Amino acid sequence: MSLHRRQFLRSSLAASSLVSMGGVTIPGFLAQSARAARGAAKSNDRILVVVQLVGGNDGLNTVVPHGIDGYVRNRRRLRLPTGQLHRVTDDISLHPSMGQMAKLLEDGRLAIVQGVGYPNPDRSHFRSMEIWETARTDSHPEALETGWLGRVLDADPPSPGSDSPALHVGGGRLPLALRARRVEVPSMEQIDQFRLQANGSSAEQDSTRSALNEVAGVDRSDDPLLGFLRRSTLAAYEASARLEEVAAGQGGETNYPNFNLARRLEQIARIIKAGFGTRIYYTRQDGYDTHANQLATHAALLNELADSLAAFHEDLAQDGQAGRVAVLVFSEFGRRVAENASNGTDHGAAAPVFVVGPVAQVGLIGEHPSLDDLDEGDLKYQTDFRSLYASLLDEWLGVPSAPIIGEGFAPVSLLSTS
Amino acid sequence: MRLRTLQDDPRHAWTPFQASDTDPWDLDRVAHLHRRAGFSPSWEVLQRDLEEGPEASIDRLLHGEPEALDGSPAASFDNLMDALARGPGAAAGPTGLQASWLYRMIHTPFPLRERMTLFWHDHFATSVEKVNEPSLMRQQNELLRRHALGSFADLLRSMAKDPAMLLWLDATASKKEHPNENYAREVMELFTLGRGHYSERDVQEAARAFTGTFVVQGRYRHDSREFDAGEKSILGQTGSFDGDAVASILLDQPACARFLCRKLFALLLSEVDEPSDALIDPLADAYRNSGYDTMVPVSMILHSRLFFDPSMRRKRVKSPVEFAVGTIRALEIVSPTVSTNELAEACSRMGQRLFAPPSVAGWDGGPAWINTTTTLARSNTILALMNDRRRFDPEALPARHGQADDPAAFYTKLLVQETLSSEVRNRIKGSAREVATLVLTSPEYQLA
Repeated sequence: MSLHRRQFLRSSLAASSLVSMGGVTIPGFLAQSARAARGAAKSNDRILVVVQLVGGNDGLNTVVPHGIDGYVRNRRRLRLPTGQLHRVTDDISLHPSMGQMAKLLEDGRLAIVQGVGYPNPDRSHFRSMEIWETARTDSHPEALETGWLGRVLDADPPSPGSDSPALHVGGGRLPLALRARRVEVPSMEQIDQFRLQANGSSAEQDSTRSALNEVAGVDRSDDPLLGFLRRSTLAAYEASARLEEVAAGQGGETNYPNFNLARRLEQIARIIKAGFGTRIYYTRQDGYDTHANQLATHAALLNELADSLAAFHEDLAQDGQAGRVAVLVFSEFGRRVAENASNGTDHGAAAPVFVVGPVAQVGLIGEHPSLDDLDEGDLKYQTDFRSLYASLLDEWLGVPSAPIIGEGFAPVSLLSTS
Repeated sequence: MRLRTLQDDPRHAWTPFQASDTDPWDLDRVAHLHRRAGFSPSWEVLQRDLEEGPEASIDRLLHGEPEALDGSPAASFDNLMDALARGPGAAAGPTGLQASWLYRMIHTPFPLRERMTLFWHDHFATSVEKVNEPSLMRQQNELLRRHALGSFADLLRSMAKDPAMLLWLDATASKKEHPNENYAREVMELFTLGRGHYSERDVQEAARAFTGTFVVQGRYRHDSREFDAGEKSILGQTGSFDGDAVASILLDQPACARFLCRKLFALLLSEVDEPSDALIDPLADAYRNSGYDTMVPVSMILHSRLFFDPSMRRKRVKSPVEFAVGTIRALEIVSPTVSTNELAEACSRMGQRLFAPPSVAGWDGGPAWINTTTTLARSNTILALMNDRRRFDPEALPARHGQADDPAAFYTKLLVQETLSSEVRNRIKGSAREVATLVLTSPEYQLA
């Protein structure tokens, strides 16, 4: 551990022991949920959920420009039947499987940014994900050390003992977007990892939990390190207990479809509803690399996406939390305008991005890229993805964007913060 | 306060500890020695060392015991463990590497060497996530272990040629025309001097000295055609230096020994006290004068009055690996031991993935080990262990040591000794399983 980090930790430890000298210690997340309960979402209560569509989503068959010259010409076998589309404007509609997204649109909860990408698009999954996740297009070695959200965490590291400021919900390795220098972001597949797993009958479990609490509960403020451990332990047990209450209390009320993505979003909703201090959540939906026989696969994926997002939104709305949660849905690239010979599509460039939540502008943002003026067969981007990040950072999370993603990306207003 | 007087009085701080009526050789001191220089010990080891006194106890930690916990002689245990890591360990990828190292730590006759190997793994932090070659990580681990308590100078020189390190720092093709600065920078900032003791110019010049370095098919190669043999100026010295010469220049800096001794202070003494230069200098001087024999400062610390001063207790947060391995050794869950694959996953959930530190600066450690998720992971690890009835019988352990009548007193003495206040001790009650669980999840037990 470098010395400046140790000094930092030492000073944050000193700060947290000062808190306890005031007498009663309120764990940070309780204070935050108390704030949240009062209603108005302040910038430090707002939550960002990122859903990454892995593999490169075919934007043209997601937000379908059926009225724009060129769609029909390029998509002969993969063309979607116009009658089944969900109308956004006269020329542009959502995929037939996205009925639930259309409903979010009707309810004023969905924004669709068209033609999002970046200069000199890279068509490698790996490289393009790196670019999106780090918000850097250069190949400097240090560019890959931290993700854009990781840098948000580094800018304001949590004090020891507080809730993790970000969570990855899902399997596999930690997304590069969440990689930070000073903060370790946990990955959680199951909410069980957030629960104290006592054994036996429910009475035995209760007695184990209360015994653990009793031992941790004794005041130890004469020793700063021990006092810190005591507070962290109590906070963890409290968090776990509240999570369990929330989970038990909600049982039959939520209505999530039986999809992986839905299950992950449900876990995220539970944690949000339990009043955790976590403000950034990240999860992924795999399978968008549709080189062959795309139609059925893609329809199933978009159905999972739309139904899961709608259930998530409904769940939060019922709990009065929808106003403080924004969801960003992106993929590393779109696909070629022209379909390939295997009834699929190959790696492309610009594609639409979805934002679900208290959006500032409902429906389409920006123009659809031309289907005639292409760049090596791909759509030209209209909006740099970093302008969306700028908006999410500056306006939604209240974190200055320039140090995180660089200068010169004018925010595209996405969310209403009033 | 005694801490202040001893820390402000380097001459007395580093004099050898002598047991006396006021500073007796007691259970607290024996357990403290093992927690810092090894892992939490079993009841038998505690009693033996209590009986035999500080000299014999410290000596055994510094040089290892004759037999591993599985009963095999130390030398054959080492051979077996090397073979295990080389074969099934590396072949099973990152989890296999983690599991085989944890197995070794659980049974090792030489806990200090494993702790120091882990210390150097954190110091020369390299991650399999990027290196992507488990066998190269295993080789690096062997290198760290070979020099763990030996020559830091040799370790440093070897590290500049270690394929895993070079892959990790993108320094696999450093050519005369385009010297790679990454290794040159990290070797000064993180491995020897620390920030503020070198200039950008020193980094650029040192990078030239490391040219000709290549990794080809997982092996280090020096290509003299790509080596810049010209004159370089580094930290006030001029010559046509190569990588080994740069290492000598760095080792010659007093800042290097101080930098390393501050890290040893945090490892063995305290993570929360910032030692003064006056306190560090006697250690650093001894280290440098020995030609960087790591045994010298470690031995000096472990014998010292400061080390055995009560003010130095509970000044570290146990890392997840210390916590897990120490618990298993203290509870004698050794034959059979737990599934080390599962233990590796538990350590990951607690925040420490062996062979995968978060960055080149290693783990943050200290209070940063503790947050909501990792605290629950610690408690859940203990709850799972306590419910693994095939491997651990909480009644049988105190009975085996003739302490069946008071399991609460037994587990308290074994795991936290006298550190619990009476108010906490009053709340440690119930069956043997319950009291063991309560002690192992207490805030006190998380500290070393």
